[in-house]
Amino acid sequence: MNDDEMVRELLQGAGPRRPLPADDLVSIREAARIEWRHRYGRAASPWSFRPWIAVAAAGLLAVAGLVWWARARQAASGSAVASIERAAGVGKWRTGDSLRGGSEIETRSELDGAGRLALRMAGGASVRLDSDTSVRLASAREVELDRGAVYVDTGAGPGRGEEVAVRTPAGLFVGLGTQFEVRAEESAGTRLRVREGNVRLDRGGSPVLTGAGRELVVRGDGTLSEGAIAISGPQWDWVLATAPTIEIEGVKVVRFLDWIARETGWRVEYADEEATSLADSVELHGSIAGLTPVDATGVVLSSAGLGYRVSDGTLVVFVAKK
Amino acid sequence: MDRMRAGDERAFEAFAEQYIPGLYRFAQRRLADRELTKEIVQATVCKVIEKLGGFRGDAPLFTWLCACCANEIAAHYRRLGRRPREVELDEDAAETHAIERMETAELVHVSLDRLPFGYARILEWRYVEGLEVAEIAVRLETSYKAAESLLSRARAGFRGVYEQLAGAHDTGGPRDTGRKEGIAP
Repeated sequence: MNDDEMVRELLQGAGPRRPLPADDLVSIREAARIEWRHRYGRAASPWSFRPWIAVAAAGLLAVAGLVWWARARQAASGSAVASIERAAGVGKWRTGDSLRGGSEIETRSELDGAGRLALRMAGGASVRLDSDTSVRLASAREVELDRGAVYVDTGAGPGRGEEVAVRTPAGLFVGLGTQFEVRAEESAGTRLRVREGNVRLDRGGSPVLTGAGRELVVRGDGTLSEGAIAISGPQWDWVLATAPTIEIEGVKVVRFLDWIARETGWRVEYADEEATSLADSVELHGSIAGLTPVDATGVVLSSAGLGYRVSDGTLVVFVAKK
Repeated sequence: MDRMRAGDERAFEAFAEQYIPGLYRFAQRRLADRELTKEIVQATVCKVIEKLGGFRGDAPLFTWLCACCANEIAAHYRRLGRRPREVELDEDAAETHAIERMETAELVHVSLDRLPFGYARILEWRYVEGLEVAEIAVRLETSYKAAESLLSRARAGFRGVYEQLAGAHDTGGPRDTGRKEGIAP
């Protein structure tokens, strides 16, 4: 058997290798790039023009136009309860699509089942749908979950969105200033994981309250079990992968880091006073449209003369060596 | 490596493109936890960059990277005050046992992991994705003849690695086939 025949037979028999997690590779590459620039690279000016910023800014304008158009359409119809903020691998839906009360949404991709959606509810909360999820939007404040997983983030601070409840056969999960996920699986029952704030489960009788860093599993027979969970890490990757892009034009680094912390579940720490001061004083210009949050972290921090490392769920920000 | 040390951005990009995925797979086979795999590979790559001047070129670069990564894994377990069960054996013995348990498909995948990035990629394009040589040439922005030549070297490299692993699989120890092109740990 010659090389061609042998290799063909073996590779076709084995099939493709398991794909590597793209977020991890980007994160490693960015950390390596920062290290390499510290040691050997020519330091880029934090405010130097980069072609991708112009392209990304144009993309951001287009997205902003779409969102404006979708919102204008919502106002005209008077019955829209949400709009699609980000669509990945779900051919039926497009960014900016308006969703009316009663809309039924499936995220199974026609190709590989990996489609996901991020919705912006009329009350301001971000709602994300994992792949292979089926929901009905009962109203701007209630999502009915039939299968798969829903993540709700009402935001933080004065601009926080209205609470969104998730209704399942196991009961109604009501958010109380939160980030939480509800996952319904036929075999494992319904699982609530709370990242921030509290979530109340109403199912008749006494309500059950679950706090941040805890999970609550409602089995098929109605029994409950509780446990501790990590609020960052791979189990939240799907949420990160559906995170809508934020505008960073004129935003200080420290605000960008607040967003990253919220999306990743990382705690942000500054290595020293100088790093704190730099993050609090440097204003960003440009756009991170098209970048993953982890990718954006590397780009933004290196542009601001900062570096970072992630360890045990903590993002440590330090001043890059000259 | 010299170009990387001289601050050439394209050299860094080529290094990252070629070696980070392979190093990730190397660590992935030795660590159960994804977050830990990422941290170890990140730490390895950063330390390697820090010590670029220390690379003497006696061994292939990927071999050196894998050795650094193995050290990083060992250091991690030392810091925890314990070692993972499979590392209680010496590295070679642990690897031999692992190979003995592998199915053919896994052996093929490990063989691809051990090839230089460009070799593994062109083989997957040709034999897994079914691209014609002309299509590969377009993707690589090279001539048909150059793509064909690269494919030929990749096949020979794969055969060498696979036969060595298959020898270890059948006999309980690595077999030297005398064909070492592209072999890395």
